[in-house]
Amino acid sequence: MPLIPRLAWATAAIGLALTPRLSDARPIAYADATTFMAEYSQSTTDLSLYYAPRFDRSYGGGWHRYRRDAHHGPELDREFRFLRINHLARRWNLPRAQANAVVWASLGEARGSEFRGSKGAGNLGFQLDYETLRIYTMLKSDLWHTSAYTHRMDVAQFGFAPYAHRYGGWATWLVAQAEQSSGALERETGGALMLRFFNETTWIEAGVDDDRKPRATLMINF
Amino acid sequence: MNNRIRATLAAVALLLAAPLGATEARQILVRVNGLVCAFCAHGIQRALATEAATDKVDVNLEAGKVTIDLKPEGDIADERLRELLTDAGYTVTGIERGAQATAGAGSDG
Repeated sequence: MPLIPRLAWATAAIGLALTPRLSDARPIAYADATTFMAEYSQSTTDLSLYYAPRFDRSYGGGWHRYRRDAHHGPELDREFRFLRINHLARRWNLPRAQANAVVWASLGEARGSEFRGSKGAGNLGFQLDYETLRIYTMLKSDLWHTSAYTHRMDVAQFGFAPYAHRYGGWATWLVAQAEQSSGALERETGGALMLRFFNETTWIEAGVDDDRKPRATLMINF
Repeated sequence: MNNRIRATLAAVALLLAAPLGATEARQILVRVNGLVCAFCAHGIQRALATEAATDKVDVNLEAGKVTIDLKPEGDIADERLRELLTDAGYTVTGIERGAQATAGAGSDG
């Protein structure tokens, strides 16, 4: 069994073991919030902006780029511009814990190194997470489709907070991530270690992957 | 004379106690499930701040408690509090008012 599915199942099992119910949302922060997200890694760059009229729904759009350099197989460049709906399908509020199931769907256009011009593109994804003030587990899957290809990216995260943060202060988390690309991509697995800091409006995450390349995430709610 | 002093002291004590009593009664403590991050707390704080009666909101993540200080003459009904917090995505497990709320806000449990 490849590494990511094993880690994904392990993450899900930990989440399920910790609670009989399930898992948290990132593209939806809270009702009446606008969320800007930027993510950078060796292979992907994402920029997105969402508005949440209610706590369980947000609308917006963004830009996603997947690149593979010659070290990791044939060079590849895929780019998507999309409009998206994020929906918090289920939230479990537990004593001192929360679990969420989030799904999203996007429509847009794709460009890239494999064809000329642009093609219609679609995207489906889900995220399951379970969180306390000290432990965070997350499993995310993102499927991108065009008439030329379909590829999938899976991410599993486990985070640990050395202290329980207080409202008004900064939270600090150590996060280990495993990821896998599949579908029309060569099957690639990787890992990363990151430091995450956030307060009530800002989320900053930075780290290195197993190729010692930097990666970072910024999220601002306003 | 002694009676007059006693009466004066009693009046002063009443004058001092009245605002303290009023302060206690102006506080509401809400116990909430699912309160695990600063984003959650911020969402709740924003939701409660929309109420005209809200003076100040304090969130204790570790204890899962939200304390609301009310403005003089203002109030928020239990039903409205449950509605606001449910619409913010959280589950209310208890609401305490006045002296009970003040005592609860000071404890961790």
